[in-house]
Amino acid sequence: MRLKLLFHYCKSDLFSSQVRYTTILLLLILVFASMIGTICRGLPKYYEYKRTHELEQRPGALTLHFVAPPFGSFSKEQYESLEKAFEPLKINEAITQIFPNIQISIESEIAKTNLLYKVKGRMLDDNDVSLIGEVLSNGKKLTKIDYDWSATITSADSVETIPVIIDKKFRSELKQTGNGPFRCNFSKDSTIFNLQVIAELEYEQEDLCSFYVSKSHMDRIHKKAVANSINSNAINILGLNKDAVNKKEFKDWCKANNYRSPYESVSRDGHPAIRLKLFDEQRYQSKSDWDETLVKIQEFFKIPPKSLSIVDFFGQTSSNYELNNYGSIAGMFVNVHQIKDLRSVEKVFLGWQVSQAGISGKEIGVYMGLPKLENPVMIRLVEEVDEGTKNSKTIVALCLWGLLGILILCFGTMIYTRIEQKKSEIGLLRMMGGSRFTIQTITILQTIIIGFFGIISGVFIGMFIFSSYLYFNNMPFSIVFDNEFVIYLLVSALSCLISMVLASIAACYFASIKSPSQLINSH
Amino acid sequence: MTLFSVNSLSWDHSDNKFCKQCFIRNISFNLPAGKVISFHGESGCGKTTIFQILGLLWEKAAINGNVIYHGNTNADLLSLSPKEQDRFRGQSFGFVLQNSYLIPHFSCIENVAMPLFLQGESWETALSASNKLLKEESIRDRAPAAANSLYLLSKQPANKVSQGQRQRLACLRALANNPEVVFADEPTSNLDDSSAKHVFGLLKKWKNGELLAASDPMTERSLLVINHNLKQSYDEEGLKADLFVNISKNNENHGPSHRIDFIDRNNIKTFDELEQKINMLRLNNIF
Repeated sequence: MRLKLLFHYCKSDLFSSQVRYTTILLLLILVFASMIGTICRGLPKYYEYKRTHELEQRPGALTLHFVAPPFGSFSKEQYESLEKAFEPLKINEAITQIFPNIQISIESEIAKTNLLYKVKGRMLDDNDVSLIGEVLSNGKKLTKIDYDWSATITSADSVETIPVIIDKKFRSELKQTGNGPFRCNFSKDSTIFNLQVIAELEYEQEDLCSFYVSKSHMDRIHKKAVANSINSNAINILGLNKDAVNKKEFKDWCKANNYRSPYESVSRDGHPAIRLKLFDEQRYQSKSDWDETLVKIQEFFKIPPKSLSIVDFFGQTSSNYELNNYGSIAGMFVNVHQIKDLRSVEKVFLGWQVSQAGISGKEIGVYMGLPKLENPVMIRLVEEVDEGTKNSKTIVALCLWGLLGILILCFGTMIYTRIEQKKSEIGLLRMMGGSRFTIQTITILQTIIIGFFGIISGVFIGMFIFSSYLYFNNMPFSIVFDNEFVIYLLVSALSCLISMVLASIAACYFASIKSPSQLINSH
Repeated sequence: MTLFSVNSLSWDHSDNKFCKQCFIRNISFNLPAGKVISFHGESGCGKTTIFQILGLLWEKAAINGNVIYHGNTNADLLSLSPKEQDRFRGQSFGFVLQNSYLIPHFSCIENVAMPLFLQGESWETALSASNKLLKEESIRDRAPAAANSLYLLSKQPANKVSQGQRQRLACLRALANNPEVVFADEPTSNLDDSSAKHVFGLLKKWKNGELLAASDPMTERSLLVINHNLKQSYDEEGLKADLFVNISKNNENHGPSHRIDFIDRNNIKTFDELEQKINMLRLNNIF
């Protein structure tokens, strides 16, 4: 009898108008808050993503791509001043102007139509600044680097020359490595064909910034980095020693299997690793393709299964942006997309990224308030971003506080109503002859069952939202939909359900110390 | 035959911070079985509390004295264990309250079926019996197909029907178990005259055996009603009570806390006479 009553009670309560209205109310709050979160934080990301892809479809445009801060974008005036700073033909001066005391190293690779420079930078003590880089001559079509450091680059269609000047500071280092640092003066006469540069500028002093990067956020990024290998064109492998890289048979094997020559690298966690890349613009769409690769390499070297592991995935899409920057030490980054003609700078975005000791951060805008920044240029930029995003941040904060207030009110009212309703129901059922034990057991079990289903469904909704299977306008939904914001809301919704269960338990407690008449009268 | 024989009943709820005056001290009275008894008294004088004590809706911890049911001196209702009280209440008593207090997310028929189910009937049997009861009620109303017929509304959620219909459902719920005694605490105070007549009509039909056949023909059904409207209680079309009970607080510090007076319908000829007597009793108590 108890089980049957429990069944009917659950059935009717689950589809009761109260639960329906509460669910609708919660969903409305969720949608409303997510809309605000999406508009205030997600849309800049979305436009950045969209813009990047548009530019990628249009070779010939140079974009110094600084990611807009997540709490909004720059004011028109700021944009104009930044565009002026980065006016055509003065890219090195512009970088010098904004980022003095920065040393940049460039890691290059040649794709079918692009020369990809990965620029890594370091703050220097003096003002000796221009684009100083390190060219790794592993690129397939990088045919010559002159000792006067004019690099000749051959593309599929034409031959271009970059004047490269060796920085005297690193000349000795260059001799040792054979590759090494260089200075690239982008002059008026320079013409670079489809040059793509990704620059990561790193600070030597760890205390330059104060960080507010949560551990859980970093864990998520890490998990995402491992799980999300869509559009990846390279991996870092742990478990192979550096001799493997130089082994001719392995190089041949790689070529035959459509991989570039492997080379030594460092994993994001700082371990020596072997980097394996696909040719040209090829991408693997799933992790399993890389897993197969790993198995083949194990077979090639005749080493036991699982002796190798993939630690990093690399790709070029913005969805992988966080992943690509995973592991960098506190720094700024500059993406320069598809330079054909330095005179055609189209748009400049500014922003920067912070991270700490092996864990990557999101855009610095999330972590506003960097009191320890000592570099005056950085301070100025922080102030500008602060100023530029002040209004939107205030609006977001007000909306959030408002929503929080509404949520608390909803919570309070719902819990109070629930307790009163349950007390009254228990009283009624007892009045009709139900024993105290039966009624209380049913009430608690019923709410636990409903709460359980609620929590399960909440978790599934969360998984659905955060999974990479959901797309909005060709962009992973998890990027548009601000993750943390949705997590807070899901947690709120789950708390609501748990509160309902607790409210019922509270009602049962009251029911255990009060008479049926008191319970009914409390309605 | 005596329905309830109340002896030296005391109830102390003065530790309730909201109701310092809530107490009953040393009251005794008898209520006859098989009657329609209408309780009257000023608000807050303790009618509902006495009702709830008789209906075993109060925990016995705060209660002293004894309540003998149907003259069975071996069965003091107040000495029953909580579990026995639950069972007894479910089998023998039905309650109609001022508000219908239907469980909103159950349908009308499920609300009516609930007491049967709690008494151990299967869900299907309880629903079937309730369906029969609803149909019978509607037929006796001569309007089984009318829009407001409870039978037609049986599948509707309880919170979707009108206040009058809810109260009729609450009455049917109280009667579903075919109890011996129905306690109705101001069942019509929220209703208009027409709906009030409906509700009283329903209760009287049950009392007279027209709605549900008594499981034991020898058992006399009793209807105990608290009502502020004396006219309704007196009128033929209303409750038509057999016995009027006036409850008033005793101002003396010693002895019984309440004065309980009975007026038999047979001893009065008109409503005015009843009203006069009730007023006289209240005045006597004041002075």
